[in-house]
Amino acid sequence: MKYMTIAWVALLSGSLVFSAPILASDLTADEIAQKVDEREDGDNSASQLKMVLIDKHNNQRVRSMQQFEKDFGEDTRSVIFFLAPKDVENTAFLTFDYADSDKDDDQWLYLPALRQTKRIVSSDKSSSFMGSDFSYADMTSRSLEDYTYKIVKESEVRGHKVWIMETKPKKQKTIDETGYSKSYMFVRQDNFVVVRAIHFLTDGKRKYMDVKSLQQIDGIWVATEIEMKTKKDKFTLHSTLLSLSDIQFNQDLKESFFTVRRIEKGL
Amino acid sequence: MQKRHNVAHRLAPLFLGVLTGVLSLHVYADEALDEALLGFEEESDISQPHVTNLQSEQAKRSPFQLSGQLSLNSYYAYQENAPIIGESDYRGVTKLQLAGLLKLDYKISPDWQAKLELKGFVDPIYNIKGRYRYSSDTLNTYESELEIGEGYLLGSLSENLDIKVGRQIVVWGKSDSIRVTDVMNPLDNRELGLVDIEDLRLPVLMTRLDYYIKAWQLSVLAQHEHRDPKEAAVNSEYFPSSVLPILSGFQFPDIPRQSMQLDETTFSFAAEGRFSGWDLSLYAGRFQDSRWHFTNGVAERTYGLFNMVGASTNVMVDSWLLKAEVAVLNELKYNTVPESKERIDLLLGFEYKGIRDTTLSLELADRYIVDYQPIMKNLPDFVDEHELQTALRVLYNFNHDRATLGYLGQYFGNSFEKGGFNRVWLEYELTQSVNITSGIIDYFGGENPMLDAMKNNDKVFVEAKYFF
Repeated sequence: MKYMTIAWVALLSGSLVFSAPILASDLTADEIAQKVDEREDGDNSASQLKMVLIDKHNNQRVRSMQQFEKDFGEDTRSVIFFLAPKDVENTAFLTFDYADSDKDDDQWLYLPALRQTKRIVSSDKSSSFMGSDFSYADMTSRSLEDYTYKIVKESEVRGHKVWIMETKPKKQKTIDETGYSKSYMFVRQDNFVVVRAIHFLTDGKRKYMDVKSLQQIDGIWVATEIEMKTKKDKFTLHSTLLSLSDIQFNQDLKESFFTVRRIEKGL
Repeated sequence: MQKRHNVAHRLAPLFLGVLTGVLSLHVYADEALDEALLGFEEESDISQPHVTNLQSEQAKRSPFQLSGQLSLNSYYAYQENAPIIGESDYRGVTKLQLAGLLKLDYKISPDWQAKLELKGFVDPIYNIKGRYRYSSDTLNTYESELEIGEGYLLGSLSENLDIKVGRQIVVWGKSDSIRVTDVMNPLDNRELGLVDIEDLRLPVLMTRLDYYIKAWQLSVLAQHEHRDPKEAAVNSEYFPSSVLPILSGFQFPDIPRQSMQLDETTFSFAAEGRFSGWDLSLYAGRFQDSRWHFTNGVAERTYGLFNMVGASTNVMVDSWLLKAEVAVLNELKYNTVPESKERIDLLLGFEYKGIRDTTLSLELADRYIVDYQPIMKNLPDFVDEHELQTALRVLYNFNHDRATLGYLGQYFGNSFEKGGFNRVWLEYELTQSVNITSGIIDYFGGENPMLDAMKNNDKVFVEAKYFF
């Protein structure tokens, strides 16, 4: 059972528009989480990603990637090829993301400079992904049953009604893995897309995720521009703007695409 | 739950006295949320960057990709003693190398690609300090170089079969710092502990076939070229040959300059399986030794061939990646005994990722010589029945991966009594295209006369790399 992955994997995906309006009072927090989880997020997808990393002095660095993803039953496999900067060009990352939260993901990283593919320990998901404000936890799916949910408020984000849901990990293991002790998720009431989030890190910092642009592609809601800010008190320490383009669903991606063979051969 | 939440809000004033405790907690929670929400409402102090269209960027990608790097590398030796008259001076700035790498990648079709690398360097420090101070071997080894790096054609012969022909690098094994089953390519041994890991392995000409079946990759490799390692110049700071028991006036034979030696094709095989939570690799073949031995009396130095069967595995347990490698090698040549020997190499290690943005790895290897003879303890072999090697590596990424602080320690002997080195460095991404690395390497001596003679080679090093 998958749950709101707040970086590209899920926000890129989004859900189909529900045909009938849903009354807020009809749903419990657990049911909303379930709806988010059940959103149509597309399959066999390809997209281009660009991350602009911005430090507190407004210095910017750019990371570009090409991502492919395919569902295998409840599990998901993805490949990310790094396109820029030059020193990491052709580096590639293969992930087998298992729905079973008791099973660690399998991840391999191909390093062209070393001509070597290395298995990566996947339990530490709190580390930064490519130096961005997104962590590996933000990239991969999380299990619905690992968290408790509570609706704390109703509000509006950019003119759309949202539930603000407090989510807390049930186990210390989940906190250790993700680095998040608590989160607030802003779920749009009309389409069950998480459009904002506040993550409370164990070191006292907070991360603010904000979907700046949300589009429907092939009937699927896709966040095409996401900002993630890391803050300490009121000060922004660092931020990342992630943008997606050339998003395509229902590509003819075979199982053999999601292999070490493929990441070693490159795009 | 949502319904109860709203009801509580509506009825709160009526039950104020009764519910004070509960409501105060609730208000506190709301205040905490409201305070957190301000994070979205504050005016961003960072201007939004312009995001270019990735689609148009991708469209620009040509089947030909030319890329490369330029680098400036410098060493400052701070421990070297003044040389004896007539000897080379290795004090102060000992390197001022300008190096370049040019890579051409050609995507012939979705299934076929080709690559060619040209690399070289020039170091004006020898002109600056006086070329007459250095031996011709030193100048040949360190002053300049131009060579073809990797150059190959890679493609698919069928859905499950790939072929790769040309000069290439093949990395075997799971270890990062100690070689046990990673015996395919010779190494650049010219500067112990200082050669960039990206340049450490030397490509050799081979034909490789890879067949993929489920989780397995089955490989057959025909190694057409037996290329010698790049060794330090005789009697230079990284090969203090004067410590060897050689007769006065003995001219130590040079290693011939790199040339393509297509005298004998040797074959090797590998089976690599990748499974959920663990990997397993099996290897067998005939390879060139990375250690030289005297031949023709002591008139030549030669790298022999040996056979190896080996295996390596990775097992992931929570934040730990456990590593093990084993190799059985035979037909190994030594200088102190006439017969070839068999050796069993075993490596155990781990990589720990339980600390945020930090990688800690430790590897221990034991090389056991079967039918060991005490005479092998003598120079130039200087080997024990069990040769132990330890490597500790710590990497810490910070400042959003802009900087990496690293440590590598290599220690030889049961209790590091034979010597080794410690290296600490900081790598910093100055701009999108420029990386700066600076650090210090500290060699420590011990029972190994070669390592002991290198204990004053300590250096501060700086490298600036420009990628294009």
